[in-house]
Amino acid sequence: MIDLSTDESNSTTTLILTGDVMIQSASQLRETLLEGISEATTLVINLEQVERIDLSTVQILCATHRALIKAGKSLLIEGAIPESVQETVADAGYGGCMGDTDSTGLWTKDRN
Amino acid sequence: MAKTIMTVDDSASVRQMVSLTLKDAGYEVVEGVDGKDALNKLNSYTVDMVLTDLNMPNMDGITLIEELRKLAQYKFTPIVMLTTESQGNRKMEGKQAGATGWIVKPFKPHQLLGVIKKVLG
Amino acid sequence: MAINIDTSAFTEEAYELLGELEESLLALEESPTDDEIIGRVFRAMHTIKGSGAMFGFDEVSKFTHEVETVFDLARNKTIPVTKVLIDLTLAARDHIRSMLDSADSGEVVDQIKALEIIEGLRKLASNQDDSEYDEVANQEDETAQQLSEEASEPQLFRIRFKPHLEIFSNGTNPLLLLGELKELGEARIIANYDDLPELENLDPEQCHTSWEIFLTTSEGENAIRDVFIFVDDDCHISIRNLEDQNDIDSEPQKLGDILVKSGDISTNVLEKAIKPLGHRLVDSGDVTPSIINAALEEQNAVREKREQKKKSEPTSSIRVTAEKLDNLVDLVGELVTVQARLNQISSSRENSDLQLITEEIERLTGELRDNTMSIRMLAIGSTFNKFKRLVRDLSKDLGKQVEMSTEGAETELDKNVIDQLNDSLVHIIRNSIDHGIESPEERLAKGKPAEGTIHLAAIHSGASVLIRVDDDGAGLDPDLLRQKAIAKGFIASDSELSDKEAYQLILGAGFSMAKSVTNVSGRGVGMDVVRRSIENLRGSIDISSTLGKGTSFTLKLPLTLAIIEGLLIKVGEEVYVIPLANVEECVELSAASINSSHSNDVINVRDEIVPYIRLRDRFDVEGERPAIEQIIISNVNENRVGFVVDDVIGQHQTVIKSLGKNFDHSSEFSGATILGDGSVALILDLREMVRYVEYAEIRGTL
Repeated sequence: MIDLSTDESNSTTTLILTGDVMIQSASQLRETLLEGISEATTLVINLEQVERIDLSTVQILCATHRALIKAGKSLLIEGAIPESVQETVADAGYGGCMGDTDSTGLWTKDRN
Repeated sequence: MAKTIMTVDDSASVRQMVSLTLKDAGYEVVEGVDGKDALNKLNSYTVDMVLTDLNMPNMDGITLIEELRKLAQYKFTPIVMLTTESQGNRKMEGKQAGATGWIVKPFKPHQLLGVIKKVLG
Repeated sequence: MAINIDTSAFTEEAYELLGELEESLLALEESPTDDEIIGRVFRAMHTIKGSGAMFGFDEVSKFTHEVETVFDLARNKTIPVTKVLIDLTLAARDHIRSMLDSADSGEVVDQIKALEIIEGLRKLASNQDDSEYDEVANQEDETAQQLSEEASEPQLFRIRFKPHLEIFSNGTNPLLLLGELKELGEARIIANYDDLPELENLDPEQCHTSWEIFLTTSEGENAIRDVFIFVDDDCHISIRNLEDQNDIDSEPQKLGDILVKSGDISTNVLEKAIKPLGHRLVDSGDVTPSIINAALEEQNAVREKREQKKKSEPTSSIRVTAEKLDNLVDLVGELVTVQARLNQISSSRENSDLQLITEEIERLTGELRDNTMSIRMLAIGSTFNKFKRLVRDLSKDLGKQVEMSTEGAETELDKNVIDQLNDSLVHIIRNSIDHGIESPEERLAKGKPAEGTIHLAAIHSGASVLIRVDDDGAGLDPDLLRQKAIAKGFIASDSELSDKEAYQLILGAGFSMAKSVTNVSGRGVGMDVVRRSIENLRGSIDISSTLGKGTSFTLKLPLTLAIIEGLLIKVGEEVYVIPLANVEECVELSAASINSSHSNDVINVRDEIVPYIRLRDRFDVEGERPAIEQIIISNVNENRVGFVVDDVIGQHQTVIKSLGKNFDHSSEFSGATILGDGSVALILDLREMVRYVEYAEIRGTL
């Protein structure tokens, strides 16, 4: 499930993902994100209820992260990242989204 | 949640052997007697993986794969074809049609489970 | 002239491999389906075959090939691992050994035996379904894993996996393939997603990620290829064995070399950007950070593998012939001797410079000596392992069930001690199985488990090592031993022997307790030989036993043979050495105390009567006795015995030189040593001296 909501000030967009977020919904996820980051200055992603993701999801989130950085906007992860998500990211060999120099690394462990 | 696999073969004994092996390993199994039968059933419910014979009456395996790949819900579903050694060139045909992999008949139960693990996880 | 190739490297390795082979075969008997052990057996034979041919041992190579061929069938599960197969392979192993021995000794090997073994093996290979062979192996379950490729040393591979863009569309999940790689061994996975398009242009149903995987696996390259079997036609996959081209034992390759080799940059680019390489390459846009990361990862992986390798071989070792070591010990021995002379000279001159140097040399010599001795120390474990086979074969021959356990296999002893110990232990174990451990029926009747146990233990105890052989057999009957000794005239009929002394009787010559003579033991030769060879090692044997419960032999052995602490004594003009380990104390023997003992050759040492032996009498030394003589009180076989000498000179670090075969009859001397002034002193074997005197007495009184 992909659920996007924007607060009144239009500055923060929150994306809540739940259940399986896999390639079957990859196109939908990308479109939702494109829409979400166009207006807001901050994107909040909540993955707490996610059961499974796959490589396509990792790719989209990474591209989103890059796009936000490029636009000078910020990305916040809200709530805990489920273990299965962390595992998939690790299995895929994704380190920091922008390489080692990426201090805002989406997946690096010391992210808060 | 147990994953569901459809096994498609016009030979009842092959279906039975596959079916027993899969059930033993904890999968849900649905059977199709040929491509057409399978396609009908797969239109009404979704499975996690399809195992299909190639030479079948009514609709052969290659066509079934092509048809399934046209359906949104089966665009990314693992489909494994059962081939015989003599059908070496049909492997390529099947892959072009969108098959994920193959298993050569005759096969042992553990080989089948190995392939399923490979494509289904 | 024939070309003389040094084949010792091969034979040494082969003997070692044969030892391993035997061990593996015995282990295989216990777990016949263990692929790893089967692999070990196979590899040992394979190596013997290969290097045998290389070194011109064609016979060995040919024969081993036959055995290997059949065992290969077992490895491929074509034939089961049966007791028959193991027996034949063990026999084959023995035959290989005798072929190696014969190359050395020139003895003719038993060709018929070889043919029998090969015939037996071939029969096994052809009669796969023959049911007369009792299968110890449960044939592997059909659903079991397919036999993996020859398991070998783990190797490091760098795998590049660049999937086809549309890989998702045929139902392939590349992450599952990565997962499979992980199952093959230890994998580091680095994704390269530099090509990931911007979100706007991203086709989310395409795969824009490629991977560099560093995999350490023992499964081999084919197993890695198998992972990609469904995708290798439309994905880019390259597999490099980093250990093939990049000797893992040398330094990891330079970052630049790795990048050039993997084709990520040209040498020109490399030369442009010297330092700091990674950053410059990224800055100049020639490579992306991911590629640098992957290359760095390769460096790390190789480095780590190298360190692991180091760890797994905690002590890298070199093979040296025992002869070279013996030479070294001899030289060190001479050095110790010369150093003693230097000490003597230096102390007689009052030159403080000389004394300083002398002390320094003394310290260095001591360290050199200790180090050299430690080189010759070997763990006794390999000797223990050899006995597994002995126990197995013997118990089979005698229709007994015996389980052997060991303890303290890591205990170290001088190589020479271990070598000479071997036969004695064989003898003791034989005795224990033959006389000690009862037949299964008898044991069950006594309420013992049908399977008897033999326990071998080695324990450090000061400058000695204790080796114990325990069995849970019938035990020794001291009364029976006494009767027998009296009947044979070994002891007087009225002698009172403690149980412990009675047990020692079995160590006497011509004393066999066997009720019937078997081909294993009981011919009346044996334990006295054991006693002698243990005493030659300056060791001793202690026996304890509980009737019906079992017997325990304890061998006390010195850590090393080459150097002992000795006490220099003087008798007449001659100087002798008494091993300090035997000495308890020195007391004066004055004319008065001789008188008070009524010339009975005993002395009262602190209210204990101690018999003594006059070395002057024993060695027929002429001339006047000094007014005050010295008695060395020693402990021989748990009894205190005195040895009367003219004078005690002092302690001496004694390098033992063997007397050679010409002096074999003089068992009272265990060797000789060279003193500081260059003269020779004989080393006394106190135990033999006591025995000699006792024997003379018994003969005199009987």
